[in-house]
Amino acid sequence: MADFDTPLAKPGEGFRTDPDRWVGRLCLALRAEGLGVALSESVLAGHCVRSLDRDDEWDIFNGLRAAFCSSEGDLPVFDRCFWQLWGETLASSTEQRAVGTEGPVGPGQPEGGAGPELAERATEPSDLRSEAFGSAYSAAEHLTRRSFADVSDQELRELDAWIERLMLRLSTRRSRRMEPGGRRGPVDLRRSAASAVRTEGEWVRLLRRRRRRDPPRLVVLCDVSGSMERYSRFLVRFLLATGRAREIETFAFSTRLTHLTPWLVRSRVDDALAELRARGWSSGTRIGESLETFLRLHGRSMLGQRTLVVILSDGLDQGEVEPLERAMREIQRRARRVIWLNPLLESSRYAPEARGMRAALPHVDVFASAHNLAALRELPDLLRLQG
Amino acid sequence: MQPGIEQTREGLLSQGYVADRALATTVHLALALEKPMLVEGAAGVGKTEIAKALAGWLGSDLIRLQCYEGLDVHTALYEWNYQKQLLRIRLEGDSADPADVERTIYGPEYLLERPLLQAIRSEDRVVLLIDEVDRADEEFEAFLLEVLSDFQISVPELGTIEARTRPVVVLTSNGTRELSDALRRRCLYFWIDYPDADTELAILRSRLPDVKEATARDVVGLVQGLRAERLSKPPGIAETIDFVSAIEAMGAESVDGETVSAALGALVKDPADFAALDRSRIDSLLRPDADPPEA
Repeated sequence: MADFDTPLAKPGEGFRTDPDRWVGRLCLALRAEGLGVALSESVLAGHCVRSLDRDDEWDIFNGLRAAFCSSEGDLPVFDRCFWQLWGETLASSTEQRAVGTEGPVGPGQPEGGAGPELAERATEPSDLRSEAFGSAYSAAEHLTRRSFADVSDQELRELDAWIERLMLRLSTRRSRRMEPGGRRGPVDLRRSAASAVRTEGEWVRLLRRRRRRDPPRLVVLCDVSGSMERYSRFLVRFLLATGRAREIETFAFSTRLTHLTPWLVRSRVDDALAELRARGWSSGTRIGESLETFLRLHGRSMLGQRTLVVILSDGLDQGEVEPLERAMREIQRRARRVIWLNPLLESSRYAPEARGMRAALPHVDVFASAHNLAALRELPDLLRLQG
Repeated sequence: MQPGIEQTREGLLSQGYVADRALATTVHLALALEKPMLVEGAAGVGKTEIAKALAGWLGSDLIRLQCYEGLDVHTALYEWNYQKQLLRIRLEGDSADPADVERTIYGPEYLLERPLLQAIRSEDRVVLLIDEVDRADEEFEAFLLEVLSDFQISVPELGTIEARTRPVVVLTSNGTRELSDALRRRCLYFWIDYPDADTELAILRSRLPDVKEATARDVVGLVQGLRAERLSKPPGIAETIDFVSAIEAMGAESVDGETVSAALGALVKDPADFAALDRSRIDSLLRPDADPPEA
């Protein structure tokens, strides 16, 4: 971390000496922390500085924050970078001040030269990233070896066909946005009027509009814990399909959540899975916490009226029930439809008695089995997606 | 010249809007740099109110564009006055050259201005509020980008219309959909959080000048406590104000468990939250406050 032996500069000194250069360095620091800073934003930041009182560090802070940040998630990253570069190294006090308490902070803590320190920080993984993999990681999560190789070719073909049908079924959502065409929709006055001009004002033809079809977005959350191991071959087909289809996001969860989509883009499925297994991904299940993580990190960008959420899990949860219920309620509220595939349904005697499953069930639109091909084949018919 | 940060803060305050220095700084910059401002935050923290207060303070008209899915150019920008066009076509009769007629009826006098065009064509500076931009779809967002970067609009039949005065643009978003980076980059960004107790008290006093001090304090304490609970819809400032009004209207002497339960509908709007807040929970939320009313 900070090198306390380097000669200290007065906080804000670098900024006052050469604001433009300082803002440039802030840009670099923000980029190093993963904030996408566009050229237009650094230009905007320069303008901001010029219309602010340069002696007031809080105004500079707030102004640059408005220029550089573009979402709530950016704020803590910006706060950290700003104060670090400003000459403050104590992260804890930075956070308190970032909430907006009044009054400037005097030249306080000795701090390292900002330059070298930033370079150092840039090589550290950011807090956000480690959070994405969850904090529940423990060495106790043992490695589980499984082979997905024994899926027969016939089965693969059938699954492919099934997924194709599923996608076809899913692609029937109608948007609220209208497009020209159709015979029964509302009259398209604009085009009708335009065509009436050519018939001397007689409305010979009434042109109409209809609701456009929008492709849905699919979010698949797969339980990869030990209890779900038997069904992993089906799961893998799901994952495989995600690589091909356009708007599908895949997640794996056991005691924590992993966003699989980027992995599947980069490498072959088997490699990706092997790497994930090496991270200890399959002992125990904390569905509630995993879903909460999903909501926190991806809910805003992935859920919506176009989104279909598919959860593949047996609902045997080791975590608390309350977070699971809360998360499910939130997901159902924000997604178009929630489908829960539970392989245990294959047994006719099965009743969803597991606490987790019982808690989740009221917030599920379609509850179906996924234990074999026959069960999977039924699924597209269950997904009736009217307008 | 441009109002400074403190002037901005006072200006908003004169309209009953309590802004902290950070918000005032962003508004000041938005005015000075003529940049749109994107305001995000939970429901009921006063995002829309900023635009209203801003318009009131600047003495400008407020033009509001409420976004929704399927919002299209004809609703946001312009539409042709078909009735008038038709009438014109009839009047011209058979003798007229169709090309001439067409040129006439697609002239400015047959144009109906919708909010965006209105804001651009206005002689005086207006405040343009683009409310809940996350509800509009990506296509509209892309269109908005063009308007916000150049402050000009192209109408195919008329050509390009440039802004006479640049409007002050405030966009709000509730985060139901992630906005594109391109749009975010065009804007100065501000995240509004729930106010702390002191700010909320100040807001209450400014909005309801006749409120009893004890009532205001008790309610703010309760609301701040409620926000710390895990409710699915935590009460916003608007709810706090409604709630105080309700309590005052009931003529309650003090804010006790009974009063709160009776007026809870003004504060909590979700059935599950409502069910979770029974008397004992409410009492325990009221108790850490200054004077426990229950004997």
